Amino acid sequence: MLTVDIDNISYTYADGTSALDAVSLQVNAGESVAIIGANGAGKSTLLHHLNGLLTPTAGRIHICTHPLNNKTLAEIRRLIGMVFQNPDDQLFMANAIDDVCFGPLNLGLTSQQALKVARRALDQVGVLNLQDRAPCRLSDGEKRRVAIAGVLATSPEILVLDEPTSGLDPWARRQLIDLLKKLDHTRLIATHDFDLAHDLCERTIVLCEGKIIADGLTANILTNDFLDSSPAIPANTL
Amino acid sequence: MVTLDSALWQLNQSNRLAEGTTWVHRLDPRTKLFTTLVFILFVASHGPLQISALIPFIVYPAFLLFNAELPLDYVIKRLFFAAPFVLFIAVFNPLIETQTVIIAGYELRQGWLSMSSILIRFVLTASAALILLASTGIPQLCTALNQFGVPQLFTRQLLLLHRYLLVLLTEGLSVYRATQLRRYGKRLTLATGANLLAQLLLRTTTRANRIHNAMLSRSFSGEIPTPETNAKLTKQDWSFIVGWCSLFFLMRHINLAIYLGQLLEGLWS
Amino acid sequence: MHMADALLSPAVGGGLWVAAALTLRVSAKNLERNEDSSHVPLMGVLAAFIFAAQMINITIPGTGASGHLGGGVLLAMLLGPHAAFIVMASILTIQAFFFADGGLLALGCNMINLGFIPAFIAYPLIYRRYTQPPSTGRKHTVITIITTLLALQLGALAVVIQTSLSGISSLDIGHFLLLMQPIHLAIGIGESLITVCVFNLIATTQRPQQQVPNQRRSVNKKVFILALAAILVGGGLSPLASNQPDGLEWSVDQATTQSDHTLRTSPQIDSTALTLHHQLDNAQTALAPFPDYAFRRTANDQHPARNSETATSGLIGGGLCALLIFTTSIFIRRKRQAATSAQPGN
Repeated sequence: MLTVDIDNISYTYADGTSALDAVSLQVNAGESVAIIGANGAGKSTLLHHLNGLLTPTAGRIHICTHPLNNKTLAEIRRLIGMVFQNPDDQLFMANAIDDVCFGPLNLGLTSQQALKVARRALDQVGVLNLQDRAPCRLSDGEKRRVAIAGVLATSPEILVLDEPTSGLDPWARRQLIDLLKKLDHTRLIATHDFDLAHDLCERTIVLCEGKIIADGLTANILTNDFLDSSPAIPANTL
Repeated sequence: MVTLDSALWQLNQSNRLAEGTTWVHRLDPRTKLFTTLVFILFVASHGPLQISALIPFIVYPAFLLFNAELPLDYVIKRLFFAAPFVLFIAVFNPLIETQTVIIAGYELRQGWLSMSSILIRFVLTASAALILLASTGIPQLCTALNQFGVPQLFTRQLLLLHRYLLVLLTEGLSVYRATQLRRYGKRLTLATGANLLAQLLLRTTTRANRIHNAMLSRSFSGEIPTPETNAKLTKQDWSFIVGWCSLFFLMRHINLAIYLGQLLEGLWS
Repeated sequence: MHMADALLSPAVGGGLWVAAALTLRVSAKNLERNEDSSHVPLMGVLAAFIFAAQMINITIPGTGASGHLGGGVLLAMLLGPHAAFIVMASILTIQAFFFADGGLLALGCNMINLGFIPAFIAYPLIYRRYTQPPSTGRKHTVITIITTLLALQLGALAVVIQTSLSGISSLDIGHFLLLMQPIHLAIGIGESLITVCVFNLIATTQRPQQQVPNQRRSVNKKVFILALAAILVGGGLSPLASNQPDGLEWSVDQATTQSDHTLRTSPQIDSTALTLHHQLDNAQTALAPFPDYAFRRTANDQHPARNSETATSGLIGGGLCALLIFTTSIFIRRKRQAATSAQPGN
């Protein structure tokens, strides 16, 4: 089954600048895809389309065969678990456990069920001991784990992560990569971290100025063979 | 006037202290909130010239402070910062109330008495509020407020404000320091200051947008649900409330200080 | 400036609390009807922004003094009155708890003075009435300045009224007003200039009113009336139950004293017939938890001469009390610290 089917979408800002230009992407269940590109290339914009935060000005999107529209928004947001770039934007509750319960409670679970699910998720990411801690008292790495737990607690089909390792020290980074390795969801990861792409994703997409200019095996993309002949990115960039 | 960096430090300290695990911390927040409010009401109900009657009331904040293992300077520092306005108004009392009284053989302006009364009230009420916070924490206090009927929308607002206060203060301090380094001792002008604030404000609204996106991504529909707490008040809670409120009532009717003083005088003679 | 518990009587504080609580309820209900949920995080972080902004001191040109952003009017301009009130109320609550700024009893007063007045009085009466979008231009600047100045003047007036009604401070209304109003005019000039500048700077990048769409722009008249009623009740009942001589005697008294500093004698209550306030006073003493508490106290009550001896005892006893409490607490704490440090694995 195609879990993510992006069909020729374009997105233009209100002032006319084009952010995405005829982007098509198909992802199968269980695949791990890295999305790389310069800042401003459109990575975040693309990710924001997946759960309807942005609506394409052209083209269509299907998630797990559901077409993305107002009626299916609720279901699609249950299917997609999005982890944002800045964990401070994501952890808005007073403590970790309350934050992780946010998703499950919104999906209709009772308090008891939500707490159970939340604790399981926190345990899965290894921070159950921090459940009563306030976000401002968590380290960056811990915050990201709690953010991931918050998303895992809703049992999504697809995990979408926006630059998960940015700003992390090498140790926290390694811990996070190891954690993500253990998860078996379909994954889309926007990242600058080529080592993460190499470790976690068998497939990589390169975005440049809103267009996909490369889509293939990570090993190939990162060793630059694929892009030697492409005029869009200077040969020595990657 | 609290500055950004001292506010940050104080906020961090308060948050840290609220994580304590003493029996005071573990009391139901409703207990502490209710008793503290009653305490403040009783203190405020004293006449403007009462001083000695107020002094025994210090036992409540002192008791809580020591049992919750809070440092004394936690309260004292904040009292210092908050005192100016009260002092400013209170200092007029001795200037206006010039009728004199005789105390211990000395002739004093009545205004000094009423001023002292104001200062004691200030210490009592302010420290009670500070200690309540440090032994409870905002999340628990909000739960208690909800249970007392405060609209959920407001407590949700309090929680969000508390959550992002450190973030915004840090950002504010960062921007402020950045201008400081290029001002070379000159004061912050209106143009620079307004630009600084405008930048911070814009960053704030874009942050709000991102947070909203994060909320929507987890199926936010307008209400922030919180796990229900059906905790009942325990015997310890009830004895705390009844015990302290009875004591406040007693101390309000009987000036314990005078009794003690007369006792001492009796023993002396 | 924030009102403080130390200057407040329970009656005035309580009355203002009722007004604030009512307004909170109404504003909350109004906002709940909002279909767009983006105001939830916006109000939260804007509150944090205002909190931080209040601590940044900006030099006002021409005066050399420094001022800071108050926030009430700016918030009303950005979010509309209901959201602005909730945001200011939340800021004041955090300030009361974390920084002992104001106090819990005075929180109601502060919410009214610094939240209700800018959002529901100054903003609708002046700003919204005299400006239309686009919110730019000289006229807009002037209106904003007037709105902010009015908000601060009314706020200061409210503090004066609340303090005087409480009777704990000796400042009489006249002197107090002379003190507060000019100061707040100066503060107001600074604050209004900052508000205007900041608003102009962000108005060019985005349209602030669109931040909270669908919000009802009409001021709920009921809120206004209810709150005013609560304030008046809190303050109005007091003269009825006061220990002061009734109005006529008091004004006669006033007329015969030469200056404010002349010794004023309390009326001989025994000599008058049982008047309403005397009856109330008796009933109150018998029933109320607060003995010898008249709803309104004035500092002109004289400290009865016969109590000067007990005053001495009071002082000694009071000092001893305080000493006892502190030494006991410190002793217990030291003991506990010794016990915990003696435990292994600490």
